[in-house]
Amino acid sequence: MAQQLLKGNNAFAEAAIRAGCDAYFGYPITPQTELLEHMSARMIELGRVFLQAESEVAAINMVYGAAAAGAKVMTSSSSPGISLMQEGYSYIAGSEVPVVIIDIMRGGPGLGNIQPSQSDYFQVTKSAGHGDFHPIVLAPATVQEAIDLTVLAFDLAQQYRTLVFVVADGAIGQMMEPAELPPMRPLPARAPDWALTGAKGRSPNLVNSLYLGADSLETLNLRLQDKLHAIESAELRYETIDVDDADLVIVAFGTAARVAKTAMQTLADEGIRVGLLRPITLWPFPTEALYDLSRSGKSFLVVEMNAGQMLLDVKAAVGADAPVSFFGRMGGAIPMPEEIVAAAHNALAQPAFAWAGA
Amino acid sequence: MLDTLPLENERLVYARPRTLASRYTHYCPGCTHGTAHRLIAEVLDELGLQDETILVASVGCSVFAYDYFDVDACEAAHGRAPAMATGIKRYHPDKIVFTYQGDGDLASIGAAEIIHVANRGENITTIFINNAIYGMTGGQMAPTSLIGQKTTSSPFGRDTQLAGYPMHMAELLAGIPGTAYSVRRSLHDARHVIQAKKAIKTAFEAQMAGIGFSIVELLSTCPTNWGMTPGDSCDWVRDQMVPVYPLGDFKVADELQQARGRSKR
Amino acid sequence: MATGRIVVDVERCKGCDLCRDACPPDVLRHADFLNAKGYRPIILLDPKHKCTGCALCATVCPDGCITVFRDIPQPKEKIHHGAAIA
Repeated sequence: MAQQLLKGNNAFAEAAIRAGCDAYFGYPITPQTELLEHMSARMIELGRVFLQAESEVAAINMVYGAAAAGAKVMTSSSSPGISLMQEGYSYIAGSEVPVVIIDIMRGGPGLGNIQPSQSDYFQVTKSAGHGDFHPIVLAPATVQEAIDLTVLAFDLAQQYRTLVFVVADGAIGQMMEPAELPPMRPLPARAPDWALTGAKGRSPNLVNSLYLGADSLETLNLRLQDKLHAIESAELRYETIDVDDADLVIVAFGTAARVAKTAMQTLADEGIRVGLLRPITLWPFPTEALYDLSRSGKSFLVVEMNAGQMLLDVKAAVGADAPVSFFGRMGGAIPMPEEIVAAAHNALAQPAFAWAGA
Repeated sequence: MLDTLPLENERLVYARPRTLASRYTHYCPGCTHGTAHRLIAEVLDELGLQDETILVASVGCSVFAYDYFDVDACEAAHGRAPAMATGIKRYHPDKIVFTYQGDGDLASIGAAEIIHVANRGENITTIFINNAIYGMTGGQMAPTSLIGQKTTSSPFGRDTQLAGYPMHMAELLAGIPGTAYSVRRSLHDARHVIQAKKAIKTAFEAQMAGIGFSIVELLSTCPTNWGMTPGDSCDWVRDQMVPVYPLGDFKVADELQQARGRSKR
Repeated sequence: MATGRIVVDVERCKGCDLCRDACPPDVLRHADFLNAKGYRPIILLDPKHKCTGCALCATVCPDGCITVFRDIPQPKEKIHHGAAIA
């Protein structure tokens, strides 16, 4: 299939459809609304389930219901909407049904604004709801990667019966780039054995996250932890550029990583040996890769479009001895390449944490 | 069980419905949740829907409803049963989907979801248990608690200045175009139980006919949290609740009336 | 008048008495034993066979623990006067 010029939000939506998404429930919120709009036309055309819910809370519970019924189901939202959906994430994790969620992040806290941000890092990787669970979190940096990771998200959701986030900032949602869509997959002929389809010719199925006894709930949690450990060892994805020879490794994901790549050109021209580690999965996180790099005496510069959220994971990975600097922009601002160049100079001189103001 | 088979020269008049699971319920003695469960199970038996039905249980005393029906089931977050039921029904439009919700779940935390499920005319059925109190959490004020009713969170009686008025959900939902059937019945004596069962059957028939949202509000007892015997609780429903929550049909869609007329002929 | 009987699943019964309140001939009583849950279940105590099998008890039973039977009326036996008994 040939490349075409695609807007990020539409690419997410069409990739989901081609991956076999047969039910979508969502609620309008900028900067992801084109995704919902794309689904509102295409899903209906294809005879699949589309519904604009009365709220994000209702949307995620519709998603939960459809997932329990055996659907390959997805929702999408942006930061404040993701916060509202947290109730459902926890139930979905506890009842082990497959769900894909796309989060086109915007600036916060509060109503914040609709500018691009990476301020949901904590929310999606650390506290997507009450109880002990992690969603798988995929973070594309291009429109093509948005497509590829959306398809992967459906596969991982089904394989592990878990919730999978694809998180991108509003810039990726709104930008247009050439990208190639995958071919249309056929829909599954029948629902999975565990799904709610009416107990014809079998004993009833139950989709549930309620375990009243401490023993039984701990047993569930142990099983969930086993699953999460399996995901950690099998599904870690990250990109590295020139890290082996680098004195300074920039750690960044999504749009911040793209800007960092531009900055790296300038730094390389200046003769500075700089590399990039770009987590593609934010959970699981490339802890060991960062640790290994830290053993060879490298400095680190974490660049994020937030106040330093992934920074904590990097610091935990490399330990207290490794020099770690941070540069971030907040509130919907995107770091400029020259700001990252300056931050790299500073990082090599003396580790520092810095935020740039407008 | 052998002792539930008729002897020679006897016929069976009433037996426990098949759709009701054999598990013992956790409900308090005399709690009419059990009665409502049994009526639903009888209706599903009579309509032959057991293996076509998906139950969405809610949060409250009926949180374990999925243990008490031999049907496919799931458990929704507090108030979200209508949303979860929507997701299921949209994916399986040929299945029968019903929610079973109490007054805190449906009329308070889930007020938005129930209104919108009705407004979309979702072809689902809701059985709404109104016992004017939060049962599972230990007897707090519900949106349907009566004016002056003492609960553990309205110790001086429900004061309308402080806590508003009893919510009339069956009437409210009847005013929504997507609602095909909205009625209120009571479970306080045998005659009313029989009427309640007829309404439950009509509600499921509305779903089978695909004509929109159907809800049966059932006035029910909570002997434990009301601090009364089961018998006195039934009297309290009759004497205190029914005057506030009149029994009756608030919406019966034309299609449903025609269908009922046909079945009568 | 129809006659009948009920069978109570005494382990399922919680002794709530709603069936007693509903029973027209008043033939339901508490048992003199406790079931495994610690409830004193309802039993049919009907020496005069006043139960009509009306099923009102089962109609109000919250626990679905009552099965109801009704006797099938038998044709009155024809008496053949003067027949010799062998």
